[in-house]
Amino acid sequence: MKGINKRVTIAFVSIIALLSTAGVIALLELNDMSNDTQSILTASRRNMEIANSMLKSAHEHSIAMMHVVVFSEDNYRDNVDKAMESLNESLDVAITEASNVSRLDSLVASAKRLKRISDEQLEKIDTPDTIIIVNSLNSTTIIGDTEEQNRSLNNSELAMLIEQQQKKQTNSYEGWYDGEYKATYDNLISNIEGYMTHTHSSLAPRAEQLIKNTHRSIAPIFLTLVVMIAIMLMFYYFIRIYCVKPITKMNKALADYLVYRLPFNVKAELNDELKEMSDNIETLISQARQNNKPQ
Amino acid sequence: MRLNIILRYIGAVMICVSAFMALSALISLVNDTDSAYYPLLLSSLLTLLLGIFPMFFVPRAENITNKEGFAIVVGSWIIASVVGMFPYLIWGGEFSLINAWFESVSGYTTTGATILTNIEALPQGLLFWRTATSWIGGVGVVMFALVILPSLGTNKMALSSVELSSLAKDNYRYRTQIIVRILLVVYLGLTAVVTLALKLAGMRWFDAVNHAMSACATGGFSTKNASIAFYDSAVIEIILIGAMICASIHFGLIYGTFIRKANNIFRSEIVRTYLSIIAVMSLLIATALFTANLYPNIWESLRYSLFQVVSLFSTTGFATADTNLWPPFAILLLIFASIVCGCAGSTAGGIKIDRVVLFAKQLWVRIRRQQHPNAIIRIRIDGVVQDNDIVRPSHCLSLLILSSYSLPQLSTPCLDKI
Repeated sequence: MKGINKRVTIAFVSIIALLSTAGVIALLELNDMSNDTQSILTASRRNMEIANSMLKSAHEHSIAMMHVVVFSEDNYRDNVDKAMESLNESLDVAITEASNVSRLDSLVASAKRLKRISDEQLEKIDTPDTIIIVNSLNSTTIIGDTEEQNRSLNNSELAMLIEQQQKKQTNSYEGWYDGEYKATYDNLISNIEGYMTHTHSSLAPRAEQLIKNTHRSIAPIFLTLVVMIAIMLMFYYFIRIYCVKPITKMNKALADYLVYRLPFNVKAELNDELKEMSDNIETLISQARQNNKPQ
Repeated sequence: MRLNIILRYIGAVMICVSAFMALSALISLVNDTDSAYYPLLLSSLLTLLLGIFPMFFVPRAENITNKEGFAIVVGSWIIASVVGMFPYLIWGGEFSLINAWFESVSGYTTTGATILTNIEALPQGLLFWRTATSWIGGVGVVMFALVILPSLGTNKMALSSVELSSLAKDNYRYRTQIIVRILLVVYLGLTAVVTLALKLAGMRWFDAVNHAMSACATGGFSTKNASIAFYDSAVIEIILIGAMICASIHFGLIYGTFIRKANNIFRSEIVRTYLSIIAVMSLLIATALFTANLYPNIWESLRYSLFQVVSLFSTTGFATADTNLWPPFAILLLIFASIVCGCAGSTAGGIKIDRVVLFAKQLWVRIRRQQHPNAIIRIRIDGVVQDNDIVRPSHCLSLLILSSYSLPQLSTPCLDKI
C-alpha cells in the first residue's frame, strides 16, 4: 500500500477506531449508571420491605394485645409472642443493613419499651390482686390484701364480687390499652416511619448525583461526533486538494494537449499514484510524439 | 496562506496536548482508576486523532511564511483551549459547556480563575490535567511542540519568533534555535527543583508536583480550596516565593546566571528594578498591616505581605491571607502590583516591568529634551539602545492591556440594563 490508498485506509481505520473506543466507553459508563440506578432501587425496595414488615408486626401485636387484655381471650397470647418476635427480627435486619446504626436508636428503644409494657401487663393479668378460692360447695374464701377480704362468701355474694372484680379489671385494662399501650404503639409507628423516610432521604443525594452524571454517558458520543465532523471536514479538504484538484488539472492539461497541442505540464505535490499517473501520461505523450514524427 | 500547512503544524501541537492528557490519565490509573480515567483517556484519543490526521495527508513544508506562523500560533492556542475542555465535559459534575471552556482557557492563559466551588472534590487525574494546562500555557503551547517535534526543522525560527515577544527575544542573545532549548531547560529545571523542595518541606508528591508546575507557570492553580493557606507553613511559602520570583524573571538571564555569562540577573537593570519594587512594596504593606494590628508582630506581617506581593507581581495568584481584610493602602499597592507584573521572557502575564521601565525612561528622555532641545538622548536598557521599533509597539501594547482592564467595568452596567 502506498500513497493515496495508504492515506485513505489509515484515515478510515482511525475513524472506526475512534468510534469504537467512544462506543465502548459510553457502554461502560451506561453500565455504571445502570448499576448505580439498580443499587438505589434495590436499597429503596429493601427499605420499604423492612419498614412494611415492622409495621405489620406492630399492628398484629396491637390486635393480639387487645384481644388478650381487653377481651381476655387467652388464645391470642401466642399471636402476641409471634408478633413481637417478628418485629424484633425485622429490627435486627434493619440494624444489620443500616449504614449508620445510631440513627435506629430511638426505633430500638420504642420497640423495647413496647415489649416491656406488654410483658408487664400480661404478667399482671396472670397474677390478679385478689385470689378467690373455692373451699366447698357452699362457701368460698377470698385471700386478698385486707383482712376484710379474708372471709367466707355465699354464692350470691361471690357472684356479685366476681362481677365487680371483672368489671374493675376490664376498666383498668381498657384504660391501660387506650393510654399507655397506645402511646407506646404510636411512638413505635412514628419511629418506623422516621426510619423509612430517613433511608429514602439518604438515597436522594445519590439519585441527584445520578441525574447530574447522566450526561457522562452521552458526552463521549457527543464529543466524538464533533471531532468526527471536524475530521470529515479536514478529510474533504485534503481529498479536494490532493486528489480532486490534481486530477482536474491533469484532465484540463490532457484536454489542452488534445485540442490545442499545448504541452502537458502538471506538477504533482505528493509522491503518490497521481504523480505516477502524471509521469505516465507525459511518457505516453512523448512516445506518441516520437511515433508521429516522420521517419 | 496554505491552510493545509497550518493544519499540519496545529496538529503537531495537538499531539503534545494529547500526550499530557494521556499522562493525566496515567495518574488517574495509578490512583485506583478514579472517575477521571475514562474522560482523560477518551479526550487523549480524540485530541491525538485530531492532531495526527493532517499529518497523514500533508507533507512537511520547507518554509513557512510569517502569516502562516501567526495563524499556526493563534490557531494552536484556540484549538488547545477547545480540546482542553473535553476531559471536563466528559467528567461532568460542575462542568457545563461554558464552565469547562472557562476552566480550560483560564488554565492555558495561566489566569488561574476557577469556576469550582470545591477543588478538592475533583479526582486526582483531573486536578493534574488542570495544572498541566496551566504549565503548558505558561511557556506557550507552541514552544512545547518546537522542542518535542524534531521534524519542524528551520520552521522553528518562524514559529518561535511569533510566540516570543520582541522584548523577550532581546535578552536571549542566542540563535533562535538555542533559545527554545534554553527556555524549556530552565522551565523544566525550575519545576523539578521546586517539586523536590516542596516535597522536602512536607507536601505530598502529588501536591508538590502540582504546586511546582503552577508556580513555575505563574498560573496559581492549587489542589486545595484554601490555596497555600491550607499548609500554614513558612518554609513552603518561602520556597514558593523563590519559585514565583524565578518564574517571573527572564529565563535567558537565569540561564546566563548559571553558565556565568555577562548577561545575568545581577547585571540586569530590569531585574534590579523588579526586585527593588517587590522589596519596597512588601515593606510598605508589612508596615501597614502591623500598624493595623492584623498580625501579632512585624515578621508575621512581612511574611504575608511578601508572599502576596510576589504572588500578584508574578501574576501567579496563590493566597495565604484574606486580603479583603487588609487596609485600603495595602490593597491599592497590591492592585498596582497586579497591573505592572513580571519581566518579559518569563511566564508572568500583565504589562511587564520592562514596558513600565521603558515608559518611565521615555518620559525622562522627553523631560531632558525639553531642557536640551538639540541633544540626542537615547533610551537605553542595560546599555543597549532601544529604538522606536521596540518602544512604540511596547507603549501600544501597554495601552491595549490597560484599556482591557476597564472593559469589564464598562460592560457590567450596560449588561445590567439589558
